[in-house]
Amino acid sequence: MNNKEFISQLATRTGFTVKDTTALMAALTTEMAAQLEEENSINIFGFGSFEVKKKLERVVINPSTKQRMLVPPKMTLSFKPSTTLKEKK
Amino acid sequence: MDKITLSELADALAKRKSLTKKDAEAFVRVVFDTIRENLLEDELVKVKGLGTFKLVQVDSRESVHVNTGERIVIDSHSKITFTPDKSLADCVNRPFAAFETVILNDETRTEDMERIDPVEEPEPVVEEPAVEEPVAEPEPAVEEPVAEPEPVVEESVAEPEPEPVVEVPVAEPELEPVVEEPVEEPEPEPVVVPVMETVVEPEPEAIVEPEPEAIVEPEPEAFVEPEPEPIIDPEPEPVEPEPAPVVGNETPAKGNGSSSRIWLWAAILLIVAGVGYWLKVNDKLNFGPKNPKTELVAEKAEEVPVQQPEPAVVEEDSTVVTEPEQKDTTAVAIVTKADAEKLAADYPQIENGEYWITGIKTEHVLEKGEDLSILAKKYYDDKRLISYIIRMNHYTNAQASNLFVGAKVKIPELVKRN
Repeated sequence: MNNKEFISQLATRTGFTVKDTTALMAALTTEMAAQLEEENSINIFGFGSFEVKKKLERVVINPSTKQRMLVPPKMTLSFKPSTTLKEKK
Repeated sequence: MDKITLSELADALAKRKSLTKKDAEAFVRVVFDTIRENLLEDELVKVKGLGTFKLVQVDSRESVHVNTGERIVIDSHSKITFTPDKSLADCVNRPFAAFETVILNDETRTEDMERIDPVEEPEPVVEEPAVEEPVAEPEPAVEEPVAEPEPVVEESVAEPEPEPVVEVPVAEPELEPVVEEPVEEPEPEPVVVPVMETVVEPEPEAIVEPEPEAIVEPEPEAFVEPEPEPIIDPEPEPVEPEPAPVVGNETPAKGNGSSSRIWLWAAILLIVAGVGYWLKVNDKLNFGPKNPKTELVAEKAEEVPVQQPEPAVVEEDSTVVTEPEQKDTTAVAIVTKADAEKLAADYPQIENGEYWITGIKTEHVLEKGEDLSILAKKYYDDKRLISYIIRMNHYTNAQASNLFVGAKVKIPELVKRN
């Protein structure tokens, strides 16, 4: 299901117009992004949690060229489904 | 580092969009309900600005129970994966966005990897000459002059051999090694041989090969021959490695005249059975007049080169490549290890980093409009080195991005690692 289908289904379920729903979703995602950027974790009960994890820098080797590269540290977003969601699937 | 719940998210949304709290919370709840339900139905939900949720089927697999050590089967199940949107991933990674993957030169850390290389390299090197010979020879098979230079090339490879040949008979005149050799030698060789003979045709060539060499030089032949012979002879002859040196020692008297005949034979017939039979006949003729002593010497000669050529070949090829490297890395390792321990005790270091922190350069009081990347740019002329400042001051990323004016920031003294 792509974003368009998602928005239209959301619109029918919430009663907002598609336009409003799109705007609300944009606001929601920017808010989530803002929270995650500050390394806050977002915990949605019954769905799962979004968490920012720090990955250390490391050295990797290109197996074909044997070239060694230093991969810089980075922050990644991880999602952990809640146990209730895990059981349902 | 707070934990944000759905209701807090809804509050923030309500403020942004001037909704009531109740509406906002209902909306957020429906959003995640919709994602969940569609995920279970559709197995894939894409949400712009957030990412893609996906259901992935995991096959059943066997595992071991962590506590009891029993073997258990983990049933196949589906799991949820989430791939963040590019925009969201970038947003989260903003503090480290300036970093780039750096290609490394020689450094201490990779010793372990280089130690593996020399082991890997020699093997193909040893095999290659074996493979090349049968390929190279069939063409010159018709021409004599071309056939001769090849043994000359082998000579240069086999140069260290003659000495051991002289030594061994003196050191061990006993008969026992003679009995052992035929048993030992066939084993290692067939390992190499199958590689050459993945193609069917090389076989006759492999048979042709030993003959000229045997005639021209007894020594290198001893090192090449054992490879092809075990394949041809097994049927009729119980003593496999012997015939080879026998041909070598006796035939040199006949000289090149017979070698040309052999080459012609090989070129015209190219039949395994024919040449194999011819070989056998030749061997039987030579067996009678042979002295037991010369046989001994011949076998010794065979034994020694068979064991030695491998290291010899390996050394020649690999030393050129590996030795200097090893020297370099060990030299670097000694310097950096001693330093590293000292430095790591005194100052926080970045593991595998490009620089060592060797001291405190200065203490900088943050002014308005400054942040750490500006300081890194100012002091090192490279804002990527911000991570060393962060490390030096033991900041978390959140702290590093939320420093106040007036904060005292230690600027580390950096020394490039070798």
